[in-house]
Amino acid sequence: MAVSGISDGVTQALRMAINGIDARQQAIAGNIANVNTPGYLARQVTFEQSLAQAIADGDPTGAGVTVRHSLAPTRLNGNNVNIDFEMLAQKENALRQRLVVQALNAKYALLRTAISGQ
Amino acid sequence: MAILPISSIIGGSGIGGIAPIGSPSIQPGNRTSQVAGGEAGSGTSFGQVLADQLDSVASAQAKADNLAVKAATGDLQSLQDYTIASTEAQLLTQLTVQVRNKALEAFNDIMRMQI
Amino acid sequence: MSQMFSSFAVATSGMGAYKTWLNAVADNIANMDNVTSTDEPAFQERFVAVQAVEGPDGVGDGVRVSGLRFGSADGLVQYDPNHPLADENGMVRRPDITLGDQMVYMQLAQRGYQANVRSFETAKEAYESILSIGR
Repeated sequence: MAVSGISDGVTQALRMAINGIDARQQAIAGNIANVNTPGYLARQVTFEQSLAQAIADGDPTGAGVTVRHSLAPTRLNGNNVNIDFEMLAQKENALRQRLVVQALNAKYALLRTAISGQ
Repeated sequence: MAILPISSIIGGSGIGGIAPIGSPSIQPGNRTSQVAGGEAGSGTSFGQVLADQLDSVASAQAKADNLAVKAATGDLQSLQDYTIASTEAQLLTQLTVQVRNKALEAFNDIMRMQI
Repeated sequence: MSQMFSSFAVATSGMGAYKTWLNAVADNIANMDNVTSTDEPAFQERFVAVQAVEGPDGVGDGVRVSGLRFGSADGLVQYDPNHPLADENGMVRRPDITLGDQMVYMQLAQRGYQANVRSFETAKEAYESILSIGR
């Protein structure tokens, strides 16, 4: 893993995860905004598999974000956004982000302890 | 021996008893022999205590790192696994730093002693 | 959208679209009892057409109102001989709008608006957590 100064593979992986979670956050917001738009197909963002693969390959920064359209059955107006699912996914995504941010902060806190000797 | 209470904390089944998971990024290696160099008494030497503690710090940090990566890739099975491991790694690191600070203080006190 | 706080813009676009819909429904209800003479068009029901906004990265940039559509101007011709606007056959024209439909649309629009407000709040939480990095 590429190690530069205070950033190691773990912090890189966490940063890539925040990027992916951020993209998903926007996709879900878009799905909610388009819950009644005729012909709109829900967007689904995935990055976990790509990130896991990139970590296994030794470079987390090589991970990518994939956006695809949901294959769920559409309603009469050609729209397949499930509003309950989206509201839930949005909350879960926000909590996931807090977890990853907390993990990043824990890494920085360890460094801070080591640097300050306190 | 004044440092016995510390060694009993570390050697006991408490925070020091974390089994190593994954490959620790820090290899204490020969530190044991370096630190414990002049020590030949019976019981646990301070150097040994410190080396053991560095070992457990390394493994606690490796465990927390391992779970942090799982959190990033969404493979984390339970939230508490990570938050607890991370807090333990943080506390263990702080404890080690404090032990080191106190040892340094004691050393300085001895150095300043009038003979 | 690679813009900062872009989820806010997306949620706001949703709020805007639903607010337009709510306005249209309110307008329909306000005018649903308009009576006109048979040689004039009836009040036309307002429909709001929306469209998804595509972003460069495929994530999507929210929604926008792409235009208004209007219902039939023929309305309903009804027999009301006592009405001052009635023609020689006693007929007047009323809009072809049913309150039941409008109430359903209003519910949908209101729920949609609320969902976007919630979406905005969740986005705010997420951004706040990012802002806490390093603290």
